[in-house]
Formats: sequence, C-alpha cells, structure tokens
Amino acid sequence: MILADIIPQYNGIKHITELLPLRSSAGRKRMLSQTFMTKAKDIKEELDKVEEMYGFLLNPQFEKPITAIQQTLMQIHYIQNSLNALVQKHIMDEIELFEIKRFALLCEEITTQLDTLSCQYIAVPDLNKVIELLDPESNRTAHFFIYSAYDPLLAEARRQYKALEDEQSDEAQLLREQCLNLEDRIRQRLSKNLHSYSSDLMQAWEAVATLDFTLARAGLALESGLVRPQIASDITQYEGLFHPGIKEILQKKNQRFHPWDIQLFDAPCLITGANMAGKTVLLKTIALNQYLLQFGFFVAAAKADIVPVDVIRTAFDDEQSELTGLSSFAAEIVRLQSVLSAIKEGKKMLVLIDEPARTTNPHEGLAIANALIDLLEKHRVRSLITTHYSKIQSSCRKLRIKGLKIPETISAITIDTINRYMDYSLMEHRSNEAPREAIQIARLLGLDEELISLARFYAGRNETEIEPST
Amino acid sequence: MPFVDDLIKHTSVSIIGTEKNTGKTECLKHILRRLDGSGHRLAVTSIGLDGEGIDQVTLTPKPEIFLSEGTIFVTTEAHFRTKKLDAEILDISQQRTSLGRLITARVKGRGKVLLSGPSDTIWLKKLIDQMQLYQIDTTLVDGALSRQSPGSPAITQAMILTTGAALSANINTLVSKTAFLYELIQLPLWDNPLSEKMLQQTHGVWAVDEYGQMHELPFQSAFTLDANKEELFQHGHTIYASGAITSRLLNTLRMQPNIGKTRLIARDFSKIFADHQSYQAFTKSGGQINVLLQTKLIALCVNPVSPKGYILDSVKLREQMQATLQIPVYDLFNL
Repeated sequence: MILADIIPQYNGIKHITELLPLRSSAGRKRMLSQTFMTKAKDIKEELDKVEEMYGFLLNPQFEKPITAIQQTLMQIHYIQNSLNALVQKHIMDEIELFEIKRFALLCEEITTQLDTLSCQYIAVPDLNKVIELLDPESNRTAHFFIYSAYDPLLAEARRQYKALEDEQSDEAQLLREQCLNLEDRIRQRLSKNLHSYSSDLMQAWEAVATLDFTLARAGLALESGLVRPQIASDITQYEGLFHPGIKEILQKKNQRFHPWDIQLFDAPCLITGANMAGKTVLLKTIALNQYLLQFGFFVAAAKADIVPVDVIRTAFDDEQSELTGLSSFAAEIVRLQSVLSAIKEGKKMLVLIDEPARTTNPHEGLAIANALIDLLEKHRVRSLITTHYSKIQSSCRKLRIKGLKIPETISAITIDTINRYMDYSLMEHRSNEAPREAIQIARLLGLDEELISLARFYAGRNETEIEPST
Repeated sequence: MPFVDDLIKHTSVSIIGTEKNTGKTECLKHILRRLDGSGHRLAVTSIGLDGEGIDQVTLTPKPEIFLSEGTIFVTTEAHFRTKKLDAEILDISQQRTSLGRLITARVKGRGKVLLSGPSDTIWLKKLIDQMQLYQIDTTLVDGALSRQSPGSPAITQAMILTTGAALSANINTLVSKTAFLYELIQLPLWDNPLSEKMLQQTHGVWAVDEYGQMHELPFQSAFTLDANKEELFQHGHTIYASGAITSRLLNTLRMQPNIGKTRLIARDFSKIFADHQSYQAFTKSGGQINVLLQTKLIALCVNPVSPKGYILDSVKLREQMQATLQIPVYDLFNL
C-alpha cells in the first residue's frame, strides 16, 4: 500500500498532502509512492531523516543553505523519462542531454549545500563525470550543444560550412549532411558513455526526490505544530492530540481546538458522549495520526508514543468511494466484514468504528454491537468504538467525552456557540449507560418546542421499550 | 530603413498582421537581415496559434525564419526538433504548450527554424523578462491578431503593424480599416492602481466602483449582457470586459441611460472586435473606452499583393495610408 492509495479515501490525509510544501515534481512523485511502513526500524529511519531536516529548519544559522536548497529543488525538471531511456540504452537527443546536464549541475549545487549542513541522512552521488562528459568546453553552465570540441572532424566541417556564401548550394547541403552525421555519432558515443553512470543518475534522482519530500515533511511539521512520535510496543499514548485540518478551520473562526489525551491498549475501548461532542473527530484524528506515523510523518500531538500496526481499518463517514451507491446498512456491513476478515487473518490491527450497527433497528443494532465488541476483545484488537447505545454488555474500557455544561442563565445556543459550553475532555466512564442529552441539545439548538415536549414524553414512557432489557 | 533605428531603442517589439498574408513574416525577416552584424542582440519568438508548417487558415506554407549566429530564439519542442540550424539549448520550460515545452536556444550556426511560442500573455511577459539573463537588447515577437488567442501582443513595448491587399483589395477600404485599427491602438491607457489586478482576471465582466473596489457582474461574458441589463450599472459606470469587446456590447451600452458617464475598459486594442460603425456610435454618444495595456506603434508596413492574386498600386497605397494615418508607411516588397 502506498500513500497515493490512501489520499482519495481520507480527507484528513488529502488535506495534509495539500499542505506539504513540495518544490519539485520529483518530490511529489516520491510522496505519492511512499509505502505504508509496518516495521519499527523502517519508520525510525524515515523519521530520523525528517528530524534532521526539522533541526536544520529550526536553526537560523542554516537559513541560507536551506533556502538555497529549496530554490534549487524548484528548478529540478521532471526527467525520469529521460533517465529511464538512458538506462535502456536509448540514444539521447539534444534536449535530453541538456536535461541531464542541467540536472547534474543542480545536484552539484545541492551537494555543496548539504555539505554546509553536514547532512547525515541524505547524500546525492557525485555526478562530476557526467558533467565533464556534457561540458567539453568546461563552461560549467547549464547549456547544451553538440559542441565542436567533441570532434575535430565536426569542427572542421562546421568551419567549412560557415565559410560558404550560399547555404542552398550542393556543396553546402553535403557539408550540412556531414555535420549531422557527425553529430549523430557523437550523440551515440555520449549516450553510451552516460549509460555507465545511469545508476548514479538514478540514485541522484531518488536522493533529490527524497530530499524534497523530507524537507517538505519537516516544513509541514514546523508550520502545523507536529511532533516526532516515539515508537511503542504495547500502548499507544497521545498527549495533546489534535486534528490539523479541523484545528485550522476553528482557528479561522477564532475558536480553539480542544486537544485530547488518550491511551489505546490492545483491546477495544468504547467512547460515549453527547451529540456534537466530537466522537467522530476523535476517531478520524487517531486514524490520521496512525497513517502519518506509518508514512513517515511527524504527528499531530504534543507528545505521542505509537504502536505500529499491519492494518488500519476504519468505519466512519469519510470518502469511501467504493461504497457509494450501497444502502447505508449494506455499506456498514461491507466495512464490518473487512474488519473481521483482517482480524481472522491474525493481523496486528488498529480498528476505529463510528457507531456500529446504527443504521438498523436499535434492538438488533445493539446485539450486533455487543457481538462485535466481544470479538474485538477475544482477538485483543486495539480498537476504538463510539456508540450511543446503552447496555453494551462488555466489561471493556469505556471513555466518555464530558459533554455539555450549560450555565442556568443560557436558554439558547447555536451551532456556532455550542463549542463554548462543550467540555471535550475524556474521562473514564464506569456505567454502561450512554449519556442522554440529545433532546436537551436539540432544544437548545432551537428545535420546535412542541416536538421537544412530545419527544420528552415518549422518552419517559418508552424507556423500557427502546432499550432492550437485559 | 528608419523604423529599424526606432525599433532598436525598445526592449520588446511585436509584429502584428491585420490579416493573414499581409507580410508579417517578410517584415520580421527584413528586420533580422537589417540587424545582422550590427551587434544589436536579438531574440525572437512567436505568440498565438501559429506554428504549423502550413498556415491552417489560408493553406499557404508558413515560412521558416532564417536566423544568424548569436540570435536567441524561443520555440516549442516540436519545432525545435525540425530546426535546420545549430543551436545551443539555454533553457527548457516546465510549462507546456500544445506543441510541447518551450526551448530557449542560441544560434551557433545560421539556418532556418519554425517559430512558435508561449500560449498566453503572462508567459510571454515572463519570457521577455528572462531575455535580460542573456543580455538581449530587443526581443521580437511574431504576433497574432486573433480572437482565439489568449496572448496579447500589447505586452510588448512597441509594435509594427502589417496590412495589405489581403485585408481588402480596395485601397479606400483598406486605408479606412487600417485607420480604425490605428485609432484603437491609440486608445488611452487606464492608469489606475487596479490595472494589475484587472489584468489577472481573464474571465467575466467587472465593474469598478467609486471606492476602487472590483465587483464581478453576473454575466458570463460581454455576449450575455442583454439578458439582465438592469444589473449592469449596480456598481457604477466603469465596466471592465476581460474578454472580447463586440459591436453588440457597445450597442447595448450605448442604449443605456448615462452613456455619457460610461467608461468601458478593454485589456488592449486587440480585444476590440467591434465594427467601426458601432464604435463610432458609442464614442459619439459620450462613451469612453480605455485599455489596460498600451503599446506604441512604430511603423506600418503594407503588402500590395493579396494571396488571391490582386496587386494594388504600391505608391498610391503608401501615399494614401501615410496621408490618413500620419505615420511612416513602408512597402517591404517594393523597396
């Protein structure tokens, strides 16, 4: 699995990749092809690179070389096709030779700057031999021409052609043809010689792409307040966890994102809380950060220790395009089944499910939810399940988002002001009763009084009918 | 030729034909020949939809341009590959045209090349600015006058216009058509801090209110103005049409009350496709037209031969043109 597969599925990831300050199409391709890493060692290596760049960005003393690198990266053209052609022993034309020479010179500039930084993790191979081949007049400029210096015969033919008055004469045509043949021979020779450096060129291309991607990840971390996560083996633990996209939206409205502290063990954990308390956002945030870690990014928290997993399975409303067209219940079943098949394959998983079985009748819905949690417990699956159902049988860990605290004096709130009265912090929740605040919140949001009082009447009368007795 | 002496004082000059086959390429060749060996450093490129080996409109062959050593040219990848000269590649664009990326190159051994160039005004401007890197004195732009072309020749400092029998085989009509175009070229510049911002708007019709705020009017283009006229002046009487200005637009505006206060702003003269009659009716009713880009016409070249075979009297044509327009007129085909 690569990052490009995940981008269309999660708005949060898409948003992050749009914020990445990439400077070349090489870097962009590298980003899209980043693999989902599951081994601690691989993740650590990737994070080491980002941390090194992050350190350079923080140090004002390095501003000049960093800016120089950024500007050079912007000048890198996409030449992967020319490089592939070179590897396959094609004969390069002038335009391709120009691109390769220009690239080699830009790599040389990058190497100079990386040396100033004493960069440990990223190095571009020495392409001096490539430059020498393409710069027979030793001009060190990124221009290219089949220079006369390549072949005395060509120099002579060109001299004779130039001396002629009439370019249309037979003699001129003959000389011109001779020049072109000589140029072809030189291009063949150059392509052959360059071919022996093609693996250096390919490595340089990879290094430049990695440099751009890494510098962009470090830049994003600095810009969005991300931190380097530590890799844990038992407990995933976040302090000050936040969702960068939603934080940004709130900031624009002069509102604050309330970060969470949360621990995830290798067992299911149930999340309850009032409507609008941010249960779904919590799930999305945890999914996003797990992906960030495993794609080698810093994460959105003040402090994070995260256990890498083999598979992340989520079931919440985001862009799961392959399921559009299905009824909501059918879509949910497809999602649940994909969770279960992965569990039964024995994969190390992170499972995040938003209100399982909410799309059917409460009686059977609760039964399905109970069964799901039993299975997650049995297979010790690190999972977070939100629900509005009371009477979940499991003795699993339960957390509750504290919810609304409205002063007596306030009689109405709006969708914009509800944020002020919501306590988003998580607390351990002992009871298996889910909070019942839906009607109260609906009233405060201004739902018709007649409907509210009827709803209150039914809520009281149907208590036992709505929730199946144990 | 005196206009070449004037031309070398400018950093960029476009050569525009009033019609196909009015001798635009001949004019470019003439300038190149005249400046060959003068030490004046030239760059050449093209703008617009041209660039095929065969002119798509008249099916006459589009000529390659002969360039001598040291000249810098910008052309598309497709045409660079067919060049019949030696050239050192200096730069390749990242942006693409329909004929590939743009190659900037310096002629190392004289010969011929087909010119094609950037597809829009902003790109052309950037290219002209880049020529400073190569110590170029003047950049020549083979321009096009076309409604389809998003590129505007008016971005260059100066301009040479070519006209001739291809536009009209009747000397009187030819002179009056050219004189009208010259009048448009001389339209006053709208000198306002908003100009830059307006130039960046390539779509829609806009109003500029008395506080200098721009408002997009609910019209797709100047073509759909008739539908809801009452909304036209809700933000005042200064109207900017980012695209083509047609007879219909001018006629619609003229019928409105307050025509005396109306100021219509066009990108540049090449975006005005209204006929002479509608233009005159508009201005006589008190309407004003301004442009955002203005360029100086340094010469008019005439071609008395039309592709259909008409040949006009060169001397008479030149004299009549000069008397009406009061600018230097040259016949490069009868020097």
